[in-house]
Amino acid sequence: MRLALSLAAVWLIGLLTLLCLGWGRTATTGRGRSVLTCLAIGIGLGVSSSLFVVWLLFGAPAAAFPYAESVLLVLLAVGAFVGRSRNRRPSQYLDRSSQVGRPVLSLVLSLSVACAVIAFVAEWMTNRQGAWDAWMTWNMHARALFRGGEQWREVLTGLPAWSHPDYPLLVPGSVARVWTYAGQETTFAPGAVAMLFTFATIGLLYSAVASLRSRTQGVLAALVLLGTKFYILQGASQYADIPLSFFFLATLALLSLGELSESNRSRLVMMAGVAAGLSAWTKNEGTLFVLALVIAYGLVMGPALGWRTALATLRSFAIGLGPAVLLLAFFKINLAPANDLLSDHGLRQSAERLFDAGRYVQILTGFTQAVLEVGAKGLLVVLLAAYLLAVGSTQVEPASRDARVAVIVIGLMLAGYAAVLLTAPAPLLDTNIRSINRLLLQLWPSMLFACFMGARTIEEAGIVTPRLSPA
Amino acid sequence: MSGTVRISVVIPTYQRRTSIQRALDALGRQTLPATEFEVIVPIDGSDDGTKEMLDGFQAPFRLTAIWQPNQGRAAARNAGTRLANGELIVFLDDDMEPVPGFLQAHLDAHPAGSRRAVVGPVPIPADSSSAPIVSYRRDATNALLARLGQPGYRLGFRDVYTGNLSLQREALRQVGGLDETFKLYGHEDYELAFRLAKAGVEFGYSPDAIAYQQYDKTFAGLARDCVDRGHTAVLFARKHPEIASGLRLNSYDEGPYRWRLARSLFLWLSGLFPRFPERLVAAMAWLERRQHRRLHHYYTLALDYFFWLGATSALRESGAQATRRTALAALALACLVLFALGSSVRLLGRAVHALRQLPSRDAITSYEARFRDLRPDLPRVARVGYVTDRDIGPGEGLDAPRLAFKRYLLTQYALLPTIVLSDTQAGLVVGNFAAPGSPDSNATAGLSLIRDYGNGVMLFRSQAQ
Repeated sequence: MRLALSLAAVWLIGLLTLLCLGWGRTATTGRGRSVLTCLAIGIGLGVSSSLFVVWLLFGAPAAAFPYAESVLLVLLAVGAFVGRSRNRRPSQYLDRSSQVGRPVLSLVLSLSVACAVIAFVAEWMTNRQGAWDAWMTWNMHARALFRGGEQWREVLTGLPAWSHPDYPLLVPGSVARVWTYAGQETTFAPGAVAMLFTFATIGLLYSAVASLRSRTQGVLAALVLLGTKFYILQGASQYADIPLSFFFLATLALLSLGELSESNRSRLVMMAGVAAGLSAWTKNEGTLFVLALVIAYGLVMGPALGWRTALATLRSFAIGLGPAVLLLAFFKINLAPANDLLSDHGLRQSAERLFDAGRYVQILTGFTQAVLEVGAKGLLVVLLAAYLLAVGSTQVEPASRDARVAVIVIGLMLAGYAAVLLTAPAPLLDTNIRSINRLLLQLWPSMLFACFMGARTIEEAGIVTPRLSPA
Repeated sequence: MSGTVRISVVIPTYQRRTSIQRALDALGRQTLPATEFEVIVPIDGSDDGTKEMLDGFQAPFRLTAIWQPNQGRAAARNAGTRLANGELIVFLDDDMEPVPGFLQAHLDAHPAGSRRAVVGPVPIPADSSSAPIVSYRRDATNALLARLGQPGYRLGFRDVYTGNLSLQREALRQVGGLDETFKLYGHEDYELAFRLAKAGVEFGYSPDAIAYQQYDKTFAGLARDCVDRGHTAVLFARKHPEIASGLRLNSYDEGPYRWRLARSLFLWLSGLFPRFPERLVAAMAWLERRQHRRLHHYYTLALDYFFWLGATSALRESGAQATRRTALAALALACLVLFALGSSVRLLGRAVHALRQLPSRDAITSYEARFRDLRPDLPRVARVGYVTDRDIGPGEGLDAPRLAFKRYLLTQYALLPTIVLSDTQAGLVVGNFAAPGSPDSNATAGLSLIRDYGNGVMLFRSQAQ
């Protein structure tokens, strides 16, 4: 009961936070409301987890947190009510869907969702504490927060290096928060958090692409993600890469929604900043994402919108980014030891590693293996590429522009991952190489978002079209 | 030339040197101060001396001319817009002659905070000496303007034309400008207006923003435009299939029976005799010379035929291309959907298999249970040592060192908040052995047993401490 209450509170916090930030200023379609629902889950988990950690940092008793959160919920509800706009602009979401084939696609989607849920639950029941990295890092840190009591800092920082105590605390904070609500440790908590993030990501991909392009396009994107077995199983394994993938996707989707809503752009971009900040508070890769996004946005939007508008947009983004980045900075400066992949980076040593051909081969092999693993031995990648080639890329703006931003971000992220591995001190371990598949997984929903934003819809490609007379 | 530019007038031009000069002269007589607007002329591949004329043109306003290879009006307008400095863009055709209050009227039609696209009248001056086609176009244009000027008339996207249109640069940017795939004449304005409407832009009509259209086309030129309009109508319908049913393309079966029969016959003849359209133009020229009393009626019918000539041609072309391409795309789509379905079924199979073999407790929870009795005996938030078998074999799919490491990690995981060091250098040392009751004597040298918890879990005190 308490567990359910804590999860309901998460969704409410997310929903009210987004409404307070001004989501309601644009009247939305049903799909727009689906975007809000899915965003509220992830943003709610992120915001509540961050508040829990801040609460602990202030030395307040963890047991009192649910009461403090109740007060916050009331304040957010008042804020959302006061801030609601009676003068909502009409929906600007485009709908180019055709009715043709809709029942078939809807049926396939429903079946895929049902299969994915059953598979997730079965996988979780087999491994309730999560797979290796999940219990060794994220659930271990959650236990440090929960079991450590007032001395949680000593426990967390006392953990040996192999547990990576420098990793940010969004996922451990989420789990420890639910345990605090429940009053005890239960394996349902990490399972529920993982499940919420996994299916909120799928829902967000569907609803965002459906809102921004067409419903059938959204269904196709969701089907491909649901058909990525590796994604569902990694979600059930409770890896933090799934929450991270949610925040990457949420950031890109919110930026794209902001592009369509002139009246509400700055607020949607601010929300994108919040999502990007939460990604940095989930895993260290999130910080790289923020940098990549700023560069990509500047490269594409600067010339397209004019530098003044692009800079004003980035200012709104920075405001949203701020709180999570401040929390991260405090954590990194005061609590976290140096990261083993990023420390010991002398200029000379890094340069030497850059000329190590063996490393390039290792990393390239790792990326190839990762593509094969994520893409069902490459079959999914081949099919997706064939589909994209067959339908062609869209000329419709701003979808095409948004896709370009996403593609550049993904490119920069992959280059960043490769650069970190290339210059990492000490020989690359098998575990480093094998973990590349998870780096790819973090970006997978965003890659699908970029693909289906940039590709022509089946209506645009003429696969389904009304008959024009005389045909 | 100082001051803030408020309006950017964009006039794309193609092979109309005299017309563009007339339009620029008229813009030089505006009531709006010349410092408050600029004129940008994208030259769309003209080689009639337009560029040279513009280079030498003495304008009281800021004038920018750019030349690009011929790409159509949409691309030319976008090129001009990219150079615009004004917040308000005014699109003007190169055969227009705006009245002195033209720009002021457009400016007044955009009150602060509004989000509008405003068209102005484009009357065609004609008298009894004008060519019959000019009178015909004048009547058609006047009918359109009368409709737009009706009190309370709400403009739709099909009432918008870019020959005399103003809108905020930001709104234009937001929808991505004009679609440059429209290279032939027509429909690029409807297409832009449709997207503007979707983006929440309102349409308005400013009766004072008059630009006279100096119509200089012949029937043959108008017929060519109609063929192009037929082509672009198909392009438009393919781009926005959701509204295709309301377009002219779907009205082929409408109209008087006799005319539909004649049109079908003409289109059939066009297929048989490629020069049929030319013959029809010649026939119309003959009727013009005869000043036939039903000439306007024949103009309407002939131009309708030319529209359908373009449309049927485009439908045939796109159909042939689309059939191959859409077949490929449909095949790829089917493969993708089948793959997703197949993956889901495989996931379900895996789930059923896992559920059948589900243990009562998962492996980590079971392993952790061994330490349940030890945990209360350990001090909170302290460091303890760790000892295990020196000679551990492979197991659980891991080699010996990895298995030993995993067991050590699990011990730490189970015993939190107590920190477990990986050696025996602490006062208390946790023993984690594979076999119960018989710890490795080599490993436990220097340690004294405090308690054996069973299942190989023990607590020692370090004698060195």
